[in-house]
Amino acid sequence: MSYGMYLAGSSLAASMYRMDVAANNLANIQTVGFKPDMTATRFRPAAREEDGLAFLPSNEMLEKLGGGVRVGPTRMNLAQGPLETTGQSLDVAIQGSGYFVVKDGAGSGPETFRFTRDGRLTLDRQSRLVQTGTGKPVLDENDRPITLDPTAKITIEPNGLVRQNGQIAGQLALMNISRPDQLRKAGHNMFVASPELMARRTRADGNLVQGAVERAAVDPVRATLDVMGAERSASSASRLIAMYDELMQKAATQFARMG
Amino acid sequence: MAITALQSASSGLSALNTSLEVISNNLANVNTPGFKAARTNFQDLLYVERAQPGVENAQGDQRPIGLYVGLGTRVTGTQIDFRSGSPIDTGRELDVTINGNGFFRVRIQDQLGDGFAYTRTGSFAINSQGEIVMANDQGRRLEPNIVIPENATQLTIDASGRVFVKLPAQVQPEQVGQIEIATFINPAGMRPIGENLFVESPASGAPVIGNPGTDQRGTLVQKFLESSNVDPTNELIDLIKTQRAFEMNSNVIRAADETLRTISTNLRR
Repeated sequence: MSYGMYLAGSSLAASMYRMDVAANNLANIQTVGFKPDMTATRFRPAAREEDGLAFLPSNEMLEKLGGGVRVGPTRMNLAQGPLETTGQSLDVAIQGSGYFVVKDGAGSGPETFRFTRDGRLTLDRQSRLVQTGTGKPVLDENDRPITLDPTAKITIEPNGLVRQNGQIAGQLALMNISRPDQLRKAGHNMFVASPELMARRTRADGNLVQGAVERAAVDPVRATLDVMGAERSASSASRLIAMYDELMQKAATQFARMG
Repeated sequence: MAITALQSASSGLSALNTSLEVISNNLANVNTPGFKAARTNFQDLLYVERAQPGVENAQGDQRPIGLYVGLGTRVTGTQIDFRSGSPIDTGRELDVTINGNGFFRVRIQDQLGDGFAYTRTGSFAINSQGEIVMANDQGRRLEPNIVIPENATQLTIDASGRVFVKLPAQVQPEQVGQIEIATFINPAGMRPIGENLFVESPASGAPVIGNPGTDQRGTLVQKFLESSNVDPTNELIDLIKTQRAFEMNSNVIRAADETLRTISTNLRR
């Protein structure tokens, strides 16, 4: 069988994956606090090498080509998104590193904590400080929701101190984990890591900006180019597959006639 | 599959479409007194886990991070911006602005929000029975109801909401009523029902009613009307951004479609 057909097939699958990821980045171009995903493709060793099956018979000539391309892990680009002033007093953006901690679901352990950069906050009917989109409470440094006086003006300082009428009313937690590469997206603008890492979270050194939101860190030009590149590579791979197919058809029909 | 790309892009298109609708409603109400602008909030959808982190390969090495593909975006809500619009001097006796927190309370039909609605539009008029009503085609009555005597002249509303009129053959102005205003714990949770009216919802909490100027409530300013708080510049910038984002997402649809087409034509026998 044509070895090249497998190589072209692996390229087709990888291009489709690249397109899916770029499409998601572009779809979230208006999502506050969104971090784009980066795709990685890498060289794939021949099947015999990859699976450690050294005893199998090899095709030395072709194995030098490797096994085509494979999809690497998705990584998040955690770069800072642009800040946009909205003037709403309960919009809080993070400038620099760190995440707000929100509580998702019942229980109290670190497995219920989520990280988010989406600081569009509001007060719920129990006058707790919650996320506008999800209604989940943002936590203070002692992992408790922050309850405020709904009638007084709310001032949030760069270090997370919440003041009302000049008095300290709460302290927004701004946290980080030691291995940000372990964060993964949980949807709803939230990030999650393993409970062990979440339990060992530390204070982050970012600053809060009241009256602003952090826009998605998606570069629209790059994301569009990613889609176009993936499209071209998918179409050339599928054309290659068609060529191999034609070749095999010729081999099967014409050689058979000669014989 | 490129099918996922198609779906992500279409979720983007429909969310951006909602955003366009909200922006155009804001722009349409740029001259509506007491109008409050809304904005669309976006969130990413769930992620599909194509490979789990921590899986071991043949050599026993763990895969350090997983492989996730997102499924697009969605609109989580339209958030109403309750910042005050700037007061405009109209000179009308029955134009009132709330300087600070709070809403006027008006009587509406009982089916909607237990019969009361709340508004920042303080443009009032007097109906044939002498009651103070909203100056629009519906003529909703102000709550509590205030009746102005037929022979009254010179109506005055002070900062704390007391309504005085001058009666013939009287030197001192006579108090005929008291305007009350309502505040909410979470005004953003209120439900807009049109006519610049909002009703209470489970998310907004119950209204707290009291006289203007007490307990952090705003004070009243007579002969001024609160203008719309829509900022046309920001809305137009948002419109441009939304339109471009819309175009980019429709490009993705085209690209995904093209890919699927080349695959199906090349691989079909």
